[in-house]
Amino acid sequence: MSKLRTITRRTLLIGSATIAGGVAFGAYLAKKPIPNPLLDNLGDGQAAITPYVLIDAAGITLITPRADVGQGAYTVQANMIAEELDIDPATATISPGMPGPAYYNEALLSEAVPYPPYNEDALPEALRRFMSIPAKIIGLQVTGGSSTVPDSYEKLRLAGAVARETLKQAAAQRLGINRSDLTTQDGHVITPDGTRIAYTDLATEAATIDPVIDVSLRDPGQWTLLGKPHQRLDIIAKSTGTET
Amino acid sequence: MQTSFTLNGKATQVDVAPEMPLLWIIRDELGLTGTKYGCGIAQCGACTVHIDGYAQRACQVQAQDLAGATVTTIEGLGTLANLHPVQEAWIETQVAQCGYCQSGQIMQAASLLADIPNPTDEEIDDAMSGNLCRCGSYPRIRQAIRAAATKMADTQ
Repeated sequence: MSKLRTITRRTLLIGSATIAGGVAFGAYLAKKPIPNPLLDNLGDGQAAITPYVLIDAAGITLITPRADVGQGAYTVQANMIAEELDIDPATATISPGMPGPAYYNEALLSEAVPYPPYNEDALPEALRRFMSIPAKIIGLQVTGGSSTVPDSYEKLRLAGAVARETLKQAAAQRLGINRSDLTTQDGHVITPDGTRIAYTDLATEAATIDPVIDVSLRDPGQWTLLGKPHQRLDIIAKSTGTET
Repeated sequence: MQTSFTLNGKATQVDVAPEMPLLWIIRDELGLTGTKYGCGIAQCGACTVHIDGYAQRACQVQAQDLAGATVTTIEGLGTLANLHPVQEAWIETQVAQCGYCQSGQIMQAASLLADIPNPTDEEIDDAMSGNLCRCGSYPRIRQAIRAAATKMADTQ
């Protein structure tokens, strides 16, 4: 009984997620895709290919939902999207976006398991992965616990990759060629003859097609942004009194 | 009351209560929000501006004492196209974290270097001790001031 009396928040969370009905309910909720909130208020000529990438004729906005109070979260999130999207993050608008279930933190609970963080055995690791299910159901859009990069590491790169491939698909349809014949560079789709089509020029068409979701992430050896030192995207504004 | 002073090189006139602090005039009357409100009682340095070339807390200077003064805020120190060497050093050193205190830190540092072009660590600490930073960017502030001193010596 002493164990019950000293029940911790961590074990309680595990328990509530593993109760039979809870798991079934959880699995249903966890599999259900969350709608893209940017689609609700989309303006004319705007494309929101994923909840993290908004493109219109004026430019590209990267949604970085984890708050930045000086720890550099906006910069690292923007770089993760930009790595796969093939843009210079300094040329994009960075926005924390809006509150919404799509932006839940799936890594938030990963350390809410009854093992210390340095224990990387199979069971603790499996439980940490499992905790993304209650995290999705609870749906907390939280910044904290050093969870921004673990939470974003795959999904923001995937968001960049989905946006990139969808923009390529839009260009392929316009030109009547295969998507696989196209490449991307610095905010442009590059055609086989070297013509550059700006992403911003493809927004209207990209908004009308289904996102290309069978994408794979680049090997770290191909990275041009991640794993390298960067100037913070807000450092100039914060040094000139123009940060808003 | 009406009072006239020079703000960032421009003749400026405002009609405000005599006891309105300069910080309110800058931010609320004139819309220059680079200067920050921290404590309002001269304990934090976030609102530091230059008055007649010297670092002053804008929350402690009243409208009735402003007549004829020359005031420089972070917006007048340097612009994106023409950065002050202290701002260049601040960017290169990536001093800012949250950035809230940094306008004040930069104005204080620029005033220090105008007074003492090549300060010792002790002189830096003495001059900067009234400017608080809760992110704890002090080691980079010191590093950036040294870098700015070198830049300013090189351009002379």
